[in-house]
Amino acid sequence: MKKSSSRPDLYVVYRLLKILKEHGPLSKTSLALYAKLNYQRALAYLQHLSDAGLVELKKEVALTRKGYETLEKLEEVLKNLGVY
Amino acid sequence: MRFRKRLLSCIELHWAKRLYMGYAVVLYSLYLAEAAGLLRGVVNAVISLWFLPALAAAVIARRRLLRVMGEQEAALALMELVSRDPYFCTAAELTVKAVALFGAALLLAIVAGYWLRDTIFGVALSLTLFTLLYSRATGRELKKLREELEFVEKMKKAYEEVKL
Repeated sequence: MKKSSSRPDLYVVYRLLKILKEHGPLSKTSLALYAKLNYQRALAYLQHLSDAGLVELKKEVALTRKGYETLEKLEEVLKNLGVY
Repeated sequence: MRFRKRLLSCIELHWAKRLYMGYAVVLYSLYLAEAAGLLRGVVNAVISLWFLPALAAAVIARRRLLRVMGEQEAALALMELVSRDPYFCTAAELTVKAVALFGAALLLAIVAGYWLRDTIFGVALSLTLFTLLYSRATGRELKKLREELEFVEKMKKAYEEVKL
């Protein structure tokens, strides 16, 4: 996420949500590793996703219902663009 | 590769615009400094490095693209770029093509002018060549432009659906 703006990059959000869907709940460290993100950057994204209600931040990170729905919407849009 | 390619050229054009604007400011400042007698010969040295901003833009864009994994992520990144500045990439690509065409026509005319030993004829030839090439290229580009604009609208609409 860019420090100057609060808007996260959509492709990183998609990557994080997709990993959580495929692997189930993960620790923040594992999620950052799977997503190939710097840990601090991953934390900033997770905080944003948590504020938006897309993930639940406890000991592990898990997708919420809204998170699943957002991911499905993203996948549908990608399908319409012919890249899924 | 469709979206990755498009994303690469779009980021490259964005950075080229920024860097060339900076380059123009520096060049103009140096020109003023030279006119005031504070410097000598620096403007020519800076002009000879005209390709540097383009080179830097290409490197930056390729480094940025390394962060994006796969076509799906590239499509999403492109969607964000397009939603921020919808027609920039299309307009910039056309501008680059026009400049390249002008450069090619000018080069041909210089060679022809030198060969024919007539500067005025070289200028006339340059304008004629540019007009001919530009009209041919415009006809071809207009067909592509319609598809391009439809694509931009599709991307914008898609981003509106999923923006967080």
